[in-house]
Amino acid sequence: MTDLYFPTTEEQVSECICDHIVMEKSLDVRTGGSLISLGSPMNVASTLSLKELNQVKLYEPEELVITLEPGVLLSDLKNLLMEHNQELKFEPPDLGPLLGNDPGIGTIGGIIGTNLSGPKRFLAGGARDYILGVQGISGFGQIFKAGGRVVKNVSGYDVSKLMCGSYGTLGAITEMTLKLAPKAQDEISLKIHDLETETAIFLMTEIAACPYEVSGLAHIPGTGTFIRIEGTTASLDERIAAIRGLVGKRKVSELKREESEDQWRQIRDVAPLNPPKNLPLWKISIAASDVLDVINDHNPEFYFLDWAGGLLWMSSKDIPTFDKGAFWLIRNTETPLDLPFNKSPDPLIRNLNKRIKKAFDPKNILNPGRLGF
Amino acid sequence: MKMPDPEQEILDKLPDLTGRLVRLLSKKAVITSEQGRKAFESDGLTAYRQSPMIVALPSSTEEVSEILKICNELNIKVVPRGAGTSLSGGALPLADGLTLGLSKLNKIIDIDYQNRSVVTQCGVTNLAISHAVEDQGFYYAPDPSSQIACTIGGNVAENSGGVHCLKYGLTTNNILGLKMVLMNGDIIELGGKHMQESGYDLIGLVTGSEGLLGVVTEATVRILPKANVVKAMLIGFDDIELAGECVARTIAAGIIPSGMEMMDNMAINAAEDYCQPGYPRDAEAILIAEFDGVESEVDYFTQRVSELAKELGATSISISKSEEERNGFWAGRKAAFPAVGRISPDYYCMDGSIPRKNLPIVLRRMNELSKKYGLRVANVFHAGDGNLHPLILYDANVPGELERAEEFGSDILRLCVEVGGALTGEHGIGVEKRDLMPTMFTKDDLNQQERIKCAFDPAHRLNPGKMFPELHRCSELGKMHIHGGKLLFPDIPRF
Repeated sequence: MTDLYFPTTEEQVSECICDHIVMEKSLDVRTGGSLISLGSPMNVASTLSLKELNQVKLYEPEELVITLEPGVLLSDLKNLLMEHNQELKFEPPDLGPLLGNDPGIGTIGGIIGTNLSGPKRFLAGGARDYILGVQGISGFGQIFKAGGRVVKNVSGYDVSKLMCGSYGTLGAITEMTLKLAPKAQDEISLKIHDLETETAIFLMTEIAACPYEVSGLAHIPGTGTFIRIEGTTASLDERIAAIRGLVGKRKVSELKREESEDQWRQIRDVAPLNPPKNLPLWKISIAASDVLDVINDHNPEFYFLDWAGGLLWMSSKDIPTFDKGAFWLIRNTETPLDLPFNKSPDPLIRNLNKRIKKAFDPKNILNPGRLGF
Repeated sequence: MKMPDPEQEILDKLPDLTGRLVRLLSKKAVITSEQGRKAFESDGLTAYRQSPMIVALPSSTEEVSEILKICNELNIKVVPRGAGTSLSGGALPLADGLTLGLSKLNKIIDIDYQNRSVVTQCGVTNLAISHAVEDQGFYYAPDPSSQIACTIGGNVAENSGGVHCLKYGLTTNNILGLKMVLMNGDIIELGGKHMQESGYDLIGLVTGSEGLLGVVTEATVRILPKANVVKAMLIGFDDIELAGECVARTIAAGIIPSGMEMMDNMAINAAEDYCQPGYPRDAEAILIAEFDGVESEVDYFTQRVSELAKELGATSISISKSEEERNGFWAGRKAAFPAVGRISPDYYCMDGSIPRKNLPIVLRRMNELSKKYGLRVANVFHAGDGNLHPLILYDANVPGELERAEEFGSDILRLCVEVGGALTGEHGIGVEKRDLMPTMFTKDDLNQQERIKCAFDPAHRLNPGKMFPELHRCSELGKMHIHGGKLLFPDIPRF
């Protein structure tokens, strides 16, 4: 039985961490906890949940920035931004259902902590590209901040990016500032039926290299290849016509706004591989030119491609093997197999990661071992 | 600006160092003569000069690694240098330091259209990357104004921006991979052509680290397809605050131009005198907004911005009808710095960043400061993303004017921080803003940043004297003090 802490102020977070430093006891640092199954298993004394830190501190729509605490629910955040016709351009996914939880319980803290990004990654960047500043408590028990709340800022190291995707191993984030984007006026998608994966990869690569700012390119074997276009209503016809020219005489259907939004929500939330197939589910980030080799090498029973071929979701009992790229074990089987959470980096980089961890958390009390080092 | 005192112990090792470097490289790639070293004494921040102790010019990552191994062993300080265009003194040499000139690493290694990426050595210029891929309709998006000269290695070090980063992001948003050498000579490869890496975001951390964490020798950058249609708008206002309001309303309307620039009356007239771009001389401010994309979208946005500008009483609105006209709109903006150089013996280019809405108050206070210091200031401004470039006019030959200009500049940056902004938007801290870091960060914030430095370079041998106002021993920074069951936060001793 572990102790549970639900601090409601930054001072309480600091106090909790300081106490654990003194006691030399480790902490499971999380926000809502819906993504806690991501990562290597941890053996911790207590749980520090940041979910009660759930205030929006500052929202300036005209500046396209928001400062908020980690516990703000993604669903609430989306509604708030929608009031001003804005959004998070990196399309944070809701992996709750995929991981066996309810939908809509994910927090912004979880998304930033794990650096999860949606289908626009290849065009507009990921979570790490939208974080402008952070404040948190390190494993020294001290409050630190980095970055700020302006878009252009190169004052000091970009610690915000380091915190994004650190899985709570470097500190407990108590506040963050994110860059927002205006929501596109309209969207439309094309669905191409019956493409072989190889042809689909080729086509996605070709379309991504065209200046039509296509904001989604995904291929779901047996379902279709999807092409999303967002922008001013006035421009959609022109861009659709140009892309239809590239698609040629293949069988194509058009998905209007609502249908398109629904389709891309499914891709974003990995719905094509949910419910579980009782096989380990891997997320693989790889160059589009190498993805076919990985598919052929592993011959997975179920898979689909996003990020214009740069992201492979695959259900396979084997540990992915390839040279350049990264993978994450997103979901294990019901009876967990002994599998690594992520691709083991080169020893020199692994050591560097360890030294950075030590620079933030010398006693190794914050999510020890969660990233495998 | 005080740099760390030269260490006699290091100076004594010069003969040994020189011998080993000559054996490793060749005589030509090791510069020891006074005249030869003098060529490296300064970068784009020309007010500061210091000849390096020695200069080494490696031609490969392996040579960089060998040089750093030698320096690490002999405890020599190293200052990496690209093209030397830093505006914050990032490449300012040390009297007891080796300047590591990386200009010979000037080859593009791989152009990969399928993955929309280019692998390039660090000494390739920013513009050369775009040139290498333009025949296939691609380009590299970040476009600092020094792009004809500055290198991609320098861009990574400073996280350079440019006019078009409003839509396409800074360097950090356009880097997929890095090869770098750590101070102990270890060569590491981060990322590649894939979009997300596991482990900590070291690419994000290293980009903008000003040469303090390692020496980047190769970068894999993202290239983008060139837009079909590009149009620029030139809008004049008789009140600079209305120009600011036009920017705010544009963004609030959900319109993100690829670039949105502002120039004030002094900058307008300096540009007109210099290259006659056809700017309205009587305007208090002009905006140059650019849109790229498909024609229907570009037309829609230019129309909408015209309407917004009209509502605010713009005195002139033009939309470019040809490439020639578009380039004409930009000519004065691009020549703004040399143009200002013509109306004053010297100018000092500042680089603060503010929330856009605070522009009126910052401009008003800047005018007051201008009167207080008795120095004129021209304003060129990446208005869309709140990045100010005030140019303070002074004459270095008048005793005390440089110091006054620096004081004035520091006050402007303090003002930026006071209204919620940052000390630097894209030029970096370097030596220039080093001592202002405590206005933006607490002691704890800076200690934490320094601990990151310790993870890469525990002996503070890489580019010391930049970014951090004080250096502390890494062993002290890493300690925790527990007394009577309580965690204490004592002052950390300095060197």
